[in-house]
Amino acid sequence: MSAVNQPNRLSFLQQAPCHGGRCRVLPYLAALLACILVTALLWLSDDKVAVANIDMLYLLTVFLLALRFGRGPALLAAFLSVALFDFFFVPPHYTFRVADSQYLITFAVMLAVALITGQLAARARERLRFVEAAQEARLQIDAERLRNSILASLSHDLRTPLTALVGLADTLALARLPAPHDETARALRDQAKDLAALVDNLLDLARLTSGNRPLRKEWQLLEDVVGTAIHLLEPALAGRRVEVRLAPDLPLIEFDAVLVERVLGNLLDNAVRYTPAGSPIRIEARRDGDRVEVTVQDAGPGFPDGRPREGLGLTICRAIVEAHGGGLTLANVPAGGARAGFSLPIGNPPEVGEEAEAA
Amino acid sequence: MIRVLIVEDDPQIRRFLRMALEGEGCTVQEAGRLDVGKAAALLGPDLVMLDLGLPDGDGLEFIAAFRKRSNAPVVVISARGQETDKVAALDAGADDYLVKPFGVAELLARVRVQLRRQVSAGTPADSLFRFGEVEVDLERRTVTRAGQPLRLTPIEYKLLTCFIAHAGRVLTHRQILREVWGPGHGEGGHTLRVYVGRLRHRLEADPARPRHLLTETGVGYRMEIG
Repeated sequence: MSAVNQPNRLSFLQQAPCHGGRCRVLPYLAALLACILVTALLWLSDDKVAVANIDMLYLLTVFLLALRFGRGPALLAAFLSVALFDFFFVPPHYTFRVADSQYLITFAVMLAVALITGQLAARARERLRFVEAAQEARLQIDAERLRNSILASLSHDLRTPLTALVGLADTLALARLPAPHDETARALRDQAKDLAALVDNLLDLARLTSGNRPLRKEWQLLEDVVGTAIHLLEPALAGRRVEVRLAPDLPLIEFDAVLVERVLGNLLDNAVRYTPAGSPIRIEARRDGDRVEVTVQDAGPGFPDGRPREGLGLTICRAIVEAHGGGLTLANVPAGGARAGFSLPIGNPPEVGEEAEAA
Repeated sequence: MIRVLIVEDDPQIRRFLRMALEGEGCTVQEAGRLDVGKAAALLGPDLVMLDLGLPDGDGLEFIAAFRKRSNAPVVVISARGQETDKVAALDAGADDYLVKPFGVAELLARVRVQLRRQVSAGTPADSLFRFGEVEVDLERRTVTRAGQPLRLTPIEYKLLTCFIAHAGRVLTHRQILREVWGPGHGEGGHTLRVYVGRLRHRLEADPARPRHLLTETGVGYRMEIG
């Protein structure tokens, strides 16, 4: 039973005064404590403070509480102050009875001043908070705009010289230079291409992680992106056998085709990079419950120690797949080779009807 | 002599383009700014290579103005990840695009396709169109694959003739939907994808690695010729 009661008691503390996820009980507690503290200090001062000044100190407390905690706690403090002032410092002491009726005016004025200053201070505080929030929002927008423009200019400033570099190096490589310059020219071109691919990945990752690249999800055929990814990698594949096995019952899947093509391209690129020339690669896709599993499997030495070293390429694959609500898995195949796979949720694909055949 | 106009602000990229194109026997004119490019376009180039990000304006402006006077192919040079820009350029009348960075072979392949398209556009239309094992008789409205007649649905056939009519050109999803399903069609991009997928399964030897009906990811499709 107590196990049930305990949380209930706690929830009483949390629930009622909580608002917008932030607990509101503490300010009231602080107001209560502040009033008690002031009373204790004044009481300990043993009549060294004149009654009129005690009054002022209470008002100051209310004012400060209003400034710090807002309207509610200030209201509580205003009433508490008058009560405590009456009980402890207005003769006869330790009772709420009042001998001199003049004190009733004091109470009334004290309460009125406490309420009004509390109100004013709370309003000032709200305005201040509003200004602060507005400033914060503007700072955030400015920071985002700055990041966007840096990314945009960075991507332009990096890609322009890289385009010139790749093009000029390629021109040189095709110029039939005498050895060993012909090999130097080819190396120059290949390195420039690798660098350009690296920059592409880096910029994409930066855009993705900064939320700068919203997903353009559309209902797609997986076959489409498998085809384009292989097509893009054709020069690197250099005539390797790429076996494509797509289950015939694959539905339309909602994804950003440019990004998923990038995932497949990176996985294929990895498979090419870490396996001996000419060894085959297999791309498979099948339905697994409410997901589609896509794997790229090679026949190379597999991931060293069975643990893949996640370079930039795999990092961006993971970021893209996770942004789609899927997952990336990397494993060695018992029969030999590495297998990199990703899953994508299926969702509710739209129907595209069949059409009658032409007569 | 084929005259190519290059509108590109980076001098080294221009140099690379010039060398590659002159190696093909083209005459090359260069413009580093949009306004210079517009002026040079008045000379009537046979092909334009256009960078979309120019310092003094948007390349789209160039395409719109150029298309009012000329049907000469425009090949756009753009960066990866700028699919919306590519689509806008193609919708405005560009014919193809190259993604930075690109090599000589890729550049020349694209340029050759565009120039060949231009030549065949001038000759009377041949009613027979062949690719791979497929033969399409546009006059008799028949399609055969390896000599065997193929029965396509009306939309599949219309889609195929649309691709054939624009062979070598990149078509955006919107352009194809408008041409095949008509203006005011309510079809989404996924309908088009499904139909192209079906067409591939009927015409391509390996639909997962098509040789003729190519996807331009995030942009549209292109029928490869030759």
